[in-house]
Amino acid sequence: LPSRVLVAIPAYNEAATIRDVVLRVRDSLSQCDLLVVNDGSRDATAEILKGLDAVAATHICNLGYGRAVQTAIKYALHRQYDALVTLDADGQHHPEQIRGMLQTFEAGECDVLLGSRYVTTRNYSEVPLGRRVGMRLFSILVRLVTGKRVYDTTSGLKVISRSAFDPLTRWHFVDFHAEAIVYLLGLGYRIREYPISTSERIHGHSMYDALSHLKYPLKTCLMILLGMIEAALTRRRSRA
Amino acid sequence: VTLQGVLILDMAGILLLVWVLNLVRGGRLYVGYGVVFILATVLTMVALSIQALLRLLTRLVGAVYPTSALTLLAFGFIVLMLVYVLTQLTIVSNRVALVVQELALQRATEQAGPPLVPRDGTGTSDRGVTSESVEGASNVPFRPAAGYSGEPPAEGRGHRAGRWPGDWRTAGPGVGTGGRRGRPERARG
Repeated sequence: LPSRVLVAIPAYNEAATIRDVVLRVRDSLSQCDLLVVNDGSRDATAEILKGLDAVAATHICNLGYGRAVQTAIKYALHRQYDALVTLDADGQHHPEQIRGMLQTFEAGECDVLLGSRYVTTRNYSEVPLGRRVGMRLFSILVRLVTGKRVYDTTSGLKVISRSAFDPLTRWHFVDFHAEAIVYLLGLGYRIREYPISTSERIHGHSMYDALSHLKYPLKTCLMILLGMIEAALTRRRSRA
Repeated sequence: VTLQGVLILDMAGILLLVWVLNLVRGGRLYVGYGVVFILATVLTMVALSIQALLRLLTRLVGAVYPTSALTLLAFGFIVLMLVYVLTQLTIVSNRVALVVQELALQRATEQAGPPLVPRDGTGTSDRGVTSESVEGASNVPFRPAAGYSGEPPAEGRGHRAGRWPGDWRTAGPGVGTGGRRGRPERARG
């Protein structure tokens, strides 16, 4: 059972929402440790964090979402947490759902539990066309290369077990999305999805701009391929 | 290639050599990069100056004219150098990211205080959450945190708020990073 749980929130320019998200997490999981990875925010995120009951890991410059999550994993690894929960700082996730995720996670049937918006409905119709195509593509790609269908590869709400910390810090990921799923499945880790609901972002901007929408699928496809290779090489090294 | 062309290109090569040597001398260009540029420049100058060698090179690369062969070789050299420089840039970028992460982790660790682990090995959070305390929790609708048991007195901020006296020991190594698969990345300069 994950007795020591760290909740980590990667945040970049989320001054409008970070206080509310932290307070909601505190209300929901008052005894869990809370880490906010401030990824070089240029707004008032750092100042707001000073007044909140959360540990802040502040990157002095922006490293990107993947590195921010990796910082949280490193923190959890070195402080010997049993499980890490990641959620977005934009308020789209409902911290109230984390407790249910942890209960499911505690059953021990998986190493990573993804908060999934589509595992129940299996329907992407509410998603804008561009993202819908991408989500289908990555879901199909993950199934093709691993044999397991993951319906929400881009979810930021995850529960990660301690056993998966080390491999996730040993390799590099774009955004800890499909490529990390493929990598972990390739290493034999068990990944499940847990149905969640999300809200629309009200403040701020998505971390994906117009150019990122073009680059992201290409980068992720490449990283999926490399993730497969890396996982195979890691398995071979461990056997040797 | 005419004699005039050879002389002009040799002059340009000599200027490039002087510039590169000066950069290396001043510590503004790593000696390894300097060697690459000096070798490439000298070889090009030699190939230009010895007509037989230039004709041989032209035949080897399958070109009709020496200028085409030189252009092709120059293009190959530029591509190789570009990939090499970008790998070095990536390595430096990774190192900067590691330093930034390390700094953030150290500050966070200082803020959080030492991690607390119970002596008997049973799990308890720094803030006192236990496995048992979440067993009775419901999923939907959400029940507030009043159902949690054993909440320590909240004093101060961060993880220290949940520190219990007496029955705990400080555990865990300091924050550090390991190289990728234990191998340090190599970067020149």
